Amino acid sequence: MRLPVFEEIILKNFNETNLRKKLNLLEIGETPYFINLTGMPLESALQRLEALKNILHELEINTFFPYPLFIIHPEIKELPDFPVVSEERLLPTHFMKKTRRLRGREISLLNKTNLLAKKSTNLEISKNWEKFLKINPFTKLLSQVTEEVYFYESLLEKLKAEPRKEEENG
Amino acid sequence: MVKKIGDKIKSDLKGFEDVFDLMKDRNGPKKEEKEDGDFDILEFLDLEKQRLEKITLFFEKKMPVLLTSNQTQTVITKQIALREKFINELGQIIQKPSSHFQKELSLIFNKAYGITETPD
Repeated sequence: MRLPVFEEIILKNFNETNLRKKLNLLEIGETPYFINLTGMPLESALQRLEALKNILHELEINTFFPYPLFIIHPEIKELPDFPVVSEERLLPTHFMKKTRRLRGREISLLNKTNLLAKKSTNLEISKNWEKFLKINPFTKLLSQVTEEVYFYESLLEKLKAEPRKEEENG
Repeated sequence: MVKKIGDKIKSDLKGFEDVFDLMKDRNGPKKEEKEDGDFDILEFLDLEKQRLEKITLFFEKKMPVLLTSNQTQTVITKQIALREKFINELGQIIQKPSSHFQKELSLIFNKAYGITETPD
């Protein structure tokens, strides 16, 4: 059993059979990974990521949950199918830990996290995630409007309370 | 005397680190580990457990409800109506000549144009 900390996937050959072979060997979704494409021209990087995306889609592996598969490329700012960062140092520090031999309590906690990770992979995250992305803009809009309403409401409360204070003081 | 292990031997012994750790523990004196290191992994695993619990809760319970009976748009229209109402109320309060907003505004205006208020 390993700690879920970042591991690099080194992909030299992006042809379909090689990708399939490599991805089957790895435990994507069970531990966080990253692929460093720094130095690769933008177009070829995008082409290769498209091939990777298709295979991951077939294997029903989500690249965000429970563990992310980060892509590192300085020119790509955002991708719908992968979390992206421009440099290796910008990867989330949460998954950067030095590993060592674990003790009893740590092993039992790791067992629990593994169980939860497997449970979440059984929840058909990939299918539901796509549906969720369709309604996602509305939830963002709702959050924005609710924040505005809260701001106006609190402002009104303050303004209504002020004359009373003045009356009390005066 | 402690012999240094070369890179080649190191690569041959790869994968057996755990076994050597056990042997070291049995024979040699126990190393006192730093307290930071002690709790570092424990804290990380605890946070990780919390994170995964939130993910499973979201995908197991909240997501199905959100997908089957999504009320987001209804709530958005209600919230927008509420926002309009509050903005109108705010406008009415601000427009009064005795309001703080008007007073502050006249103060800024007078300061900017050097107008001094004459007592009535």
